[in-house]
Amino acid sequence: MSRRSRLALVIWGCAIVLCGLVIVHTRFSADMSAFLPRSPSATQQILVDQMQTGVASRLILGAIDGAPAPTLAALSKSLAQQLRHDNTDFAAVNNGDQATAGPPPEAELFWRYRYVLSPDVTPARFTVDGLHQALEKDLGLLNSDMSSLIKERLPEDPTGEILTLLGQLADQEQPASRDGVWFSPDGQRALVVAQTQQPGFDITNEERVLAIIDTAFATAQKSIPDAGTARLRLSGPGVFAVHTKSEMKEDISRLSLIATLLVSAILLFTYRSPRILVLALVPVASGALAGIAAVSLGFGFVHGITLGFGVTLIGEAVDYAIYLFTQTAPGTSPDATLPRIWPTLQLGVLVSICGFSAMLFSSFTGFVQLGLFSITGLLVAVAVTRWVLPALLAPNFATTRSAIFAPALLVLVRRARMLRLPALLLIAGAIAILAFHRGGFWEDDLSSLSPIPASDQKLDQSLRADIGAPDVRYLIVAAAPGEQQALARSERIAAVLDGLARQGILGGYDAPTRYLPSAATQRARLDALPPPDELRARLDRALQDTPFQPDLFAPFIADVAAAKAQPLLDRATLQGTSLALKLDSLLVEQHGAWVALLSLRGVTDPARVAAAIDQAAVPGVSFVDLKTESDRLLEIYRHEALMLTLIGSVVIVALLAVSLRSPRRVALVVAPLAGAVILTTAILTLGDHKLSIFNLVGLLLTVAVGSNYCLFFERQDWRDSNAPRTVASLVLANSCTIIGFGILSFARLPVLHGIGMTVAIGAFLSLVLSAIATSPGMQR
Amino acid sequence: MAGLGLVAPRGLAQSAAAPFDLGQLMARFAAVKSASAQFTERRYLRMLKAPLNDSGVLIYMAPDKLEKNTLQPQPETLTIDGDTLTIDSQGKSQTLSLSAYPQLGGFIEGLRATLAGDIATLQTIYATELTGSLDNWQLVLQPRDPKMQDIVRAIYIAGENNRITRVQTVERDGDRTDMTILPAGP
Repeated sequence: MSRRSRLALVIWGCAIVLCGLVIVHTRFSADMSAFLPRSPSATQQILVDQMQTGVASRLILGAIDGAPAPTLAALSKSLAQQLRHDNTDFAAVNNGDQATAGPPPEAELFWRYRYVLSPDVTPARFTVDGLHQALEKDLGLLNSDMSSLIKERLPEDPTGEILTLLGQLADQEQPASRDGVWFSPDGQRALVVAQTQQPGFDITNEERVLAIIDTAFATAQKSIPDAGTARLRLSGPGVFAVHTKSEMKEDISRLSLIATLLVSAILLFTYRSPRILVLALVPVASGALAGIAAVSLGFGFVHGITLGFGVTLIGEAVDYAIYLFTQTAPGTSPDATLPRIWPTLQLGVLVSICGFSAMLFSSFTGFVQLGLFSITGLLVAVAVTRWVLPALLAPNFATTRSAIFAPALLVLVRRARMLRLPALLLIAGAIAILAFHRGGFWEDDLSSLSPIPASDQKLDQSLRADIGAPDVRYLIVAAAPGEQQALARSERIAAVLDGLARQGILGGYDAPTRYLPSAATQRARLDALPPPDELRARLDRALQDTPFQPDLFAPFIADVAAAKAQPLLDRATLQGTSLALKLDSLLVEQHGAWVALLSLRGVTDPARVAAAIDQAAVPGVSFVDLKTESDRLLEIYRHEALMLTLIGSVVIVALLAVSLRSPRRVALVVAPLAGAVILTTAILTLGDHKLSIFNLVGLLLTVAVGSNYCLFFERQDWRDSNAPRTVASLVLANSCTIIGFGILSFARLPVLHGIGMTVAIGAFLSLVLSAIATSPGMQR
Repeated sequence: MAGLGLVAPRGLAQSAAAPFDLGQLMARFAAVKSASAQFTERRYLRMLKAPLNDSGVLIYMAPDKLEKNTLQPQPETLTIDGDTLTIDSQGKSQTLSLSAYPQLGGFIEGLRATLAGDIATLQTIYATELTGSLDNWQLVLQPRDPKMQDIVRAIYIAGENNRITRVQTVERDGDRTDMTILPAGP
């Protein structure tokens, strides 16, 4: 072994150990938001943040079905009761079962702060006339079937502020009820809604919480007769995150195993030597280790999807070893083969890297990781092939077996010339298909990027409909430099919304000021309350000609005095109640600015709402239609992916032009690639399928990967005795690449599936088309 | 006749004459598929110096729908249908689950179960005590549910044959409501 070989082995060994050390300390993440790009506008950033950490992200929706209604109700009660005891994990558990749940903790808070919270507290209400009207209304209520409900609190609250507040809360739609708990309208499933303390994206916590729920359900099943057939299905952002993670884990381990086995089988079949198989996998393994280590160093964490993408590296990086092994003829040494194939190999790697580099400029963190991983992986794999593999090979190494198919393949390639016209016609046909494609090429739904399977999304939607959860499509965002200003602006908007609701343009809305009015409003309400003596005098006059006992309302006068004396309601007071959670989602501090969010429900005429908001001319306020926003987001992502693909392709062509220095040779490489891209696009859009961003990225990688085969074909001197071996190595390498990407297309995650399928088709077509384009024909 | 408060053992009393048992009474109610009658109500509340009056129409439809239609002094409709309780008052409609609000159900559930002749439900929700004869009976219902007990002490129902004439609800705090049911008008 030469000194140089020994040096290469030592450096390689040290590098592998270092990579291993880095990987051991790497944090792996499954947070799918890495594939939701950084958002361009502040409003959109708020929305994305809300999705990730807001109250919505902490919701777990549960459906119990598969048993008669009374059994389901009993299960729901038992499950909810068990979960309610777990205050550390659950902020709230609701199943409509007020009988056992008792009043929520915020009820006491509402009661104590009713005079600063109620919008009905005005000076007019506490005049003699106002009080008299309130008392008349109370008499009406007492003389109804609800009398027992209001009787208890009447002496303290004759103006009914607590009823106003509870009415506001109850304003939100309630699910149907049966046997004391929430049910879907058809009575087929009992519904439970839990709110976790931690945000749903905290996957480790979420997994634990889901396990707690499952255990509680199993306990409930055991204690209730005939409950064995019932099942509990969960949905919600956190549940999805956990499912996605486990799916990702499953996909990645399964697919990498299958890809490794298939590639190994092909190599073993071709070379009939376990030793060569191991050697062929050395550059792959080295590349994968280096790729993971590089991503870990660059980002501080490695995304699960990036690991999944490693499957493709198995198919791709093995190519380099295949070129080396197959193209080394008996009687020659690998050291002699390398200088011959090195220029082409070098250019091929360079072109691939150009393609993957485009991904580095993506605003999806996930794509940047994929790019960095692949670039590092390919560089290391080719370097190991160039400098380490020869050191590991015996000097008289040669593979006779691999050349067995070579003559036959060469004949095929020579005959391929006849296919030029059919190929051109096929491409022309593809162009026609694309030109006449109806309804646009692009997937318009942002949820197409979502890793959540369609069936899960459907279950989630139906559960939300059952529960009457607001479909948050319309929002009003009020931004201001300070908390109080944001609240004040929210109050001005709320007044406009109240008017719209009266006109029936709006079903209702939720605003942060329902839970925390601005200090100015709180003070104004307290100022509307007369001092005790004055209130007593007015009340006495209002009580004339009513049947109420004279001293009945002494507690009311005391409560009003206490309300005036106690400090204003602030954020800190709300801590520990579900109101705090609600407020946190509706009033957000971001980069030193405050944003109040008002979510609208039952909007019948969005244009009029927008116009009314405009007319109010409250500064910092905008009306947001989430559907439009998400469409715009998708538009931006797509535009970016398209630009990256185009720029990447242009750079690749430029690189080829510089290296090959001949328009004809460049054309011979680029034409098959272009044909492959066109055909692949046509195939993907067959049957009115739409292209996703992932398909687009896949097309870029098709160019990056497919160009290698075109380069080798183009550089081939067909009179050379090595020609058969080159063709054999190309076919073998191509098969391995197709296996890598093809296997990836079986992944359930759209990003892996989309890229895998596109590149598998594209790489195969690149090989076939470049064989056709460069085919010398049968004559020598 | 209250003094003759005998509860006959099951199976002994065959004739319509006293003594009789709850099963027999309930069987008579069960035979009635629908009924409607006018009512007047008088509420005696401690917080008021004088009682409150109201009146309206009661409508019953077998097996489990009861509508209390108050017409005076202000219109209000309370409907219980299965487990669903709906209150329509002053243009607003509220739907609640009866089992979620035992304090509301306490008053009306006894009346409905009696009208339905549903002895099982009646005895699940209340401890029952029947006195009198078929021509003039008194049924005392005492809630079993502690939440219901918080509000309702007892419901006294009086009737003649399969017709209820009077329902008196006594709350725990001593407040009470007397409902008089008139025979169906012409």
